[in-house]
Amino acid sequence: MRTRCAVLICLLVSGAVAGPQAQETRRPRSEALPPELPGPLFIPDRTPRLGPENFRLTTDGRILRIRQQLPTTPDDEFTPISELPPDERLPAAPMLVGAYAFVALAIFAYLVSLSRRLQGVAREIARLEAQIKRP
Amino acid sequence: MSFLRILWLILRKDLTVEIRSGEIALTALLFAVSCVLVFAFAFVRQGVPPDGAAAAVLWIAVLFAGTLALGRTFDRERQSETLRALLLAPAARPAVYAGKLAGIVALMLGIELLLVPLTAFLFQDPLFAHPVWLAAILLTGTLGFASVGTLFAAMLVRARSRDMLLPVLLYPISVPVIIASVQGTDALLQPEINVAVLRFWVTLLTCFDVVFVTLALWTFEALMTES
Amino acid sequence: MTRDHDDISLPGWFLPAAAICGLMFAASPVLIAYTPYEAEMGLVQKIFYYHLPAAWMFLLGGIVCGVASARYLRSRSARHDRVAWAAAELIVLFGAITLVTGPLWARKTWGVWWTWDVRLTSSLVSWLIAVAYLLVRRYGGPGSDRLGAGLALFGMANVPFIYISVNFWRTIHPLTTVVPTLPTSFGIPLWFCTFTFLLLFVLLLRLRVRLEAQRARLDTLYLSLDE
Repeated sequence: MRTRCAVLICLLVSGAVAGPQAQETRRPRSEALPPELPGPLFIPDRTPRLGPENFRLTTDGRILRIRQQLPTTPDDEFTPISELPPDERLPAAPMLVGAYAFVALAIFAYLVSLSRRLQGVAREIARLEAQIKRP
Repeated sequence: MSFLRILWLILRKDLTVEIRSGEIALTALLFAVSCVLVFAFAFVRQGVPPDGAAAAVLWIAVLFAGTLALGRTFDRERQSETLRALLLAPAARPAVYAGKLAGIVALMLGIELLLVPLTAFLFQDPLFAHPVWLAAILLTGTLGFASVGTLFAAMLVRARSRDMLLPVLLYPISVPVIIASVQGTDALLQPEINVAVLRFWVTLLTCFDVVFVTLALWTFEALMTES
Repeated sequence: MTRDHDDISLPGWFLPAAAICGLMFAASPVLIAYTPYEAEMGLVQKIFYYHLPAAWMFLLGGIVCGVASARYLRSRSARHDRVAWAAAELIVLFGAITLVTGPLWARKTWGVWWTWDVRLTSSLVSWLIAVAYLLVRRYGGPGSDRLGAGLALFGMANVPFIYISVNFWRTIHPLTTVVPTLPTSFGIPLWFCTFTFLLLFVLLLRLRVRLEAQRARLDTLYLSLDE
């Protein structure tokens, strides 16, 4: 017990000491390399940055947020992707991944359903055959 | 007995029952009128009906009333066991189908006789501007819907959940009839009618009627025979 | 009885074919990833390699179901009925895949999830007819086999009418001539995926027919138990 406590205290102390020292001794990044990307757990902040132009003061003292009216296209007309402004273009990867995931899910769900039905019927057949064989 | 004689006998039987009791005709008619009124309340805003709504409303009401009439007609046959008697009679099965089809078409056309003026009145659309074209579309559209409906309703007579299954089977198969009838009627309501467009829709409806009546006559025996 | 036994026991080629199908499915994303990007549509175009084979299996299922239903009505052989029911389930499966992957591709390329053009509308209506078939088989009660066969036959005959009637509306679906003009680099993964889906179709059909044959055997056992 005492040995384990001693080992634990040594580990904590060494981590506290070694951490700052490791950062100081890191080699400076070469200028030629592109800037470092944020780490894997970085989630970009996509909340809209609103400025004074997004709000309006009414005559009775209320503050209203102005919502941009996008030009609506009728349902039966399409705009090719090349003619859409850049901020209206959707990312392709979620669509592709969604499509492939749906295909896999649908085929898997059907296989599971079929397998369950087959097993159910096979069980019932075995039960009935056993019942018939009994005198 | 000849095909036409059997057709006439069955048609006469259905019309006689209907004239005496008036059950299906009156209830289907009232349902169709209520349907058109509901659509009028839903679509007419501040007394102004939307453009071109009359065609859609008319055909939706005809379809719904027709479905009810089909279901009830064959339900009555089942309750009295008359369908079994018809099938046992020494009559060609296709003739039995044709007789029932004629009865349903007559019933639906009777409902449309009241429905068309009512829709024209409530939606303020000139449905009677070209009566010959209107009659052609009504006749071919009704025949197309009834040809498939009569066959499915006859097959569903002994089925469970027949009331739910009839629309489920009938509406997807009737999609070309619905599209052609509504588009054809809509084309009639334009200020300047395009005869080529009207001719296209009436021709499509006629082809549909010919193909599906033939298919129904051909398969009625196989579908109604108990194995 | 021998036919039932033939359908219950899986053929010798089944397991090797299933293994090959599984491997091909695992390999297909890798093959697709190495295909060059299409100039206009970019990454999202790669949905095409699953969407088009699924659409073809959807069509194939329709043909198999229609033909099997027609043969069932003529011969009353239980085997044809089983094949028709199995094919209808596969129409619903591959139809769902087509109708979901299509809009996902369309949203990126065309800017809309859905549009009422010929191919999409016809596919949706045909898919609804297949769903109606499954509902009839499940809830129709006695005689639902013939009812389903009639529905499948009418559904198959209806396809050209649905197509022609919807065709009057504007279409933005790619023309079929897109496929023959694809360069080899696009063609190889397409045909690979098509063959994979075809193999899957055949395997699932066989397995589903086996389920029906098992159910028929179960019914026979119940009957012999009652005796």
